[in-house]
Amino acid sequence: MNTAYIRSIGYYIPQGRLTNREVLERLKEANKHHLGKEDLELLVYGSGRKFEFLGIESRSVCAQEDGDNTVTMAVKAARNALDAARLEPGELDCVILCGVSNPFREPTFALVLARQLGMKTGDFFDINDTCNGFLKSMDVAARYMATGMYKNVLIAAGENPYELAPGLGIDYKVPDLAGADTRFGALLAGCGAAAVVLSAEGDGRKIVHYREKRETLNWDASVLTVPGIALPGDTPLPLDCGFRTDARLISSQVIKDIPAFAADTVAAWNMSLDDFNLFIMHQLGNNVTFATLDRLKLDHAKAPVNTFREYGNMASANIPVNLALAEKRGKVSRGDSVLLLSSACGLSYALMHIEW
Amino acid sequence: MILDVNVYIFEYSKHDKEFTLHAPPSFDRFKHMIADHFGFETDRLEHATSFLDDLGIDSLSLINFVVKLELKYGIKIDMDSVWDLRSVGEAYKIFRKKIEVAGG
Repeated sequence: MNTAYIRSIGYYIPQGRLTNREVLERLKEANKHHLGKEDLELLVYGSGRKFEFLGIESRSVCAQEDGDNTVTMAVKAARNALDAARLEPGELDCVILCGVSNPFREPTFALVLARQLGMKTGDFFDINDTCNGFLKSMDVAARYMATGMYKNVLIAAGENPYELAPGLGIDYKVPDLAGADTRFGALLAGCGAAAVVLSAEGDGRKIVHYREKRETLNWDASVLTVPGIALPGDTPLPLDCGFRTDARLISSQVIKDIPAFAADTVAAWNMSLDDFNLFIMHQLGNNVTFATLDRLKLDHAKAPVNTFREYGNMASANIPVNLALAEKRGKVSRGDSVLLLSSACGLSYALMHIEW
Repeated sequence: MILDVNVYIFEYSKHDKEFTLHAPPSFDRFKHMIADHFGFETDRLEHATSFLDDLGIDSLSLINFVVKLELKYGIKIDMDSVWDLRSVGEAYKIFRKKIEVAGG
């Protein structure tokens, strides 16, 4: 790994909150005509109990009166990061954007963001690496810096799945009780954006190591695509909905796979997990985070920032938002070793070591 | 060893608007309930059988089963204790205790 430094972090969380009660009401309303009374009761009661289990109380959503959307959130987070870095947009060599709910196929979201920031030329591109997009983007940017090609790169993660959902046929309707679990993940989605300025030179917050692992066996554990797209295999998506996820498989695999991956990785870095002062994990649920820490034999206090309860799953924005909050709340000090743990559908895992 | 004692609770059916007397299931009956729900043979299920490591049953799947039990028996399992449902035996112990308290 070649050296790159986090010069600043910015983030933006919209003011709106969608509570469990509101989600359950929408779920009941959307399914009351085609599900039997008993199945509807099981769906609504069971979903509520799963929320309690996962520790979610609300999701951050864009409030209409604030005029927030996917683009404006990314712009606000990017401007916050640039202000903190005391950089003008024109001093950036490159803008990279990641986001599971990226609304753009053409042009790139990064180019749209650059335009909104007032940039006229530069290298602007998106990285689609699902929930691992932020760490992957950091790795790519650091590699550019290692070649001497770029000095300052802005990486932004913006997530607003609610803006994308109607076009993909994603709503609160489930096909039947058995199929409800394949849509459950959508009930946890939250909105938010974060951005970092990465620089080739800096003082602290140095990216020291990065490692990732990818497997193809469960490639279809979570699929988000345009409805009607032909997929390989014998488990096609329903034509009216472009989303299906096996949250059960993903959470159990993450809990099983991350400990060995983390242990092997830090050993390869000639370190031990005890060397790390702060753990920031992709948020799939408080209990998933804590179960993973238990398997790593780590104190829960080492992961003191958990936004899942209030913001829900902000996908690729989870890690940078939590990192920004850790700094803001004084949970990390200069010289600390910070381990960022990312898990994503694929399945893929990534670890990044930052020396603060 | 877990002894079967005669503790009964009433199950309230929202559909029939009636109470039905329920005895907590024996461990053998509990194994059958798990087997029926998840589609396993009961001979795979022992006290020490791990849901995750031996059966590949994750916590969210387990909650679907817990929810069915809650609705059937009119009880409510503390969600924090779901993490303690690591094995079939531990699950039975927690479930039975809950029914005994409810029948108490």
